Amino acid sequence: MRSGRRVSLVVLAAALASLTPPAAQASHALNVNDSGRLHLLKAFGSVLVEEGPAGGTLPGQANVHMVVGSTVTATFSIKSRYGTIFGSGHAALHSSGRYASFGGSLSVSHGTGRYARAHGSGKLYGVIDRRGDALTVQTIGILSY
Amino acid sequence: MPIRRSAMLASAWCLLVAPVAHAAPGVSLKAAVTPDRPGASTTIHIGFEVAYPDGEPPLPATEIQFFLPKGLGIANSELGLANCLPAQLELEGAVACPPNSLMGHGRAVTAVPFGSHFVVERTTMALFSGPLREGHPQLLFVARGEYPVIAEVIFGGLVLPAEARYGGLIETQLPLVPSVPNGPDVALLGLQTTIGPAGITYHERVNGKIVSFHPKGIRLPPGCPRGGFPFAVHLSFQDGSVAAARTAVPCPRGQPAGSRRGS
Repeated sequence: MRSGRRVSLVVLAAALASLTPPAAQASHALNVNDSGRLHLLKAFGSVLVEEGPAGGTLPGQANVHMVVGSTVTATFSIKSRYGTIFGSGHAALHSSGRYASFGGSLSVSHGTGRYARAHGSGKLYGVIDRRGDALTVQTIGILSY
Repeated sequence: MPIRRSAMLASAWCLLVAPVAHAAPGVSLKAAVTPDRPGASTTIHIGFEVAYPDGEPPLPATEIQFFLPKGLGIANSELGLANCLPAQLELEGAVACPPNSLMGHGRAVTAVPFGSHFVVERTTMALFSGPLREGHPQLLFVARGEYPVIAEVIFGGLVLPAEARYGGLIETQLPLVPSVPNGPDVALLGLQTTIGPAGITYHERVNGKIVSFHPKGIRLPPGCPRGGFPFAVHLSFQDGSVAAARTAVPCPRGQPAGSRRGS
C-alpha cells in the first residue's frame, strides 16, 4: 500500500514535470558581475580572439571572439568548474585612441553541464589596449539556469 | 578703374557659374594594399581622379565616400594611438596633432579659379585620428597648399558601416573653399591618400626612455574574397551631380580567389 502510494507520487511528479515549460525549469537565477583581463590569442582582419581568466560571480576561463569595427560584436564562452556558458554581445565604441572603450548589451544563449539551460542578458563593457590588444572586459547581468 | 575691372571680372564669373545643364563629371579610382599577403599588417593606398567633359568647368566636391572591403582591421590596428583634437587643429594647424595620431599621407589636386581660367594647385595632405564623433571613429584630413594659394584646409570624415558588399566606409563632408570674391569655389580634381603605417613612426615611453616604433597597420583578413578586395568611391558635387567608381585589389598570387574565409 505504502509502496503503491510512493509510485503514484513519483508518477504524478514526473507528469507535472513533463507539463512544465522548459523556461520554468530553471531553478537558479544569478546576478552576475564578472570581469577579466584577457590576452590576444590571434588576430586577423577586424577579428580579435582573446582568452584569459574571468573572476567574480562566475569565475572561469573566458574566451572572446570580437569583431572590432565602427561597432563591436562579440561571441564569448566562460568555462567554469561546473560547465560552460555561451553568449554574444553588441557594443558601441565609447572612446578611441590607445585605449578603445566600448559598452553595450549581451545575451547568454546556452550552456553545458550545470548551465545546460543557461539563458540571460546583461551589460557588456570593455577596454582594448590597442598596443598589444589586451582586453579588459566586464559583464553584468542575470543568468538563469 | 579698379571698380570697373572688378565689374568685368564679376561678369566673367557670372558666365562661368550660371546654372547651365552640366554633363556629370566622371571619376576613376585606384586602390592598392601593401603588403597584400592575407593576414598581413598593411597600408591602404586609395585615390581618385575626376574627369570633366570638355568645356565644363571643374566643380567643388561636397562629399567623398570611400567604401572599403569587409574584414579590414582598422579599428584594431595600432594606427591612431593618440587623437588629434579638432578644435586644436583648427587653432594651431597640423602641428597641434600628436605624432601618434598620424594615420596616413596623401595629396590632392585642386582647381583654383583665377581670372577666366583655373590654375591647378597641388596640396599635400595628412590624415589624423580624431576623437569619436556620434559614436563613430573620426578621421581628420589636413590639406596644405602653397601655390597659388597658401591655405590649410581641414575636414573630418567618419568611419561608418556600409552596405553588404563592403565592410565600412569613410564619409567625408568637404568644406567649400572660396576663391576670389564672387568667384566659384575651389574645385577638386583628384585625391590620393594612404591609410596605414607606411612612412609613419610613433613614439612611446618605455622605462623612462622615448622609443620609436612603427605602428601595426591595418590587418588584412585571412582570405581574399572572390574578385579581390573591393573598393569604391562616391563623390557629390556642389551642383548636385554625383560620380562613382569602383575597383578591386586583385588577390595576391598563390591566394585562391573566393576563399571562404575572406568572403
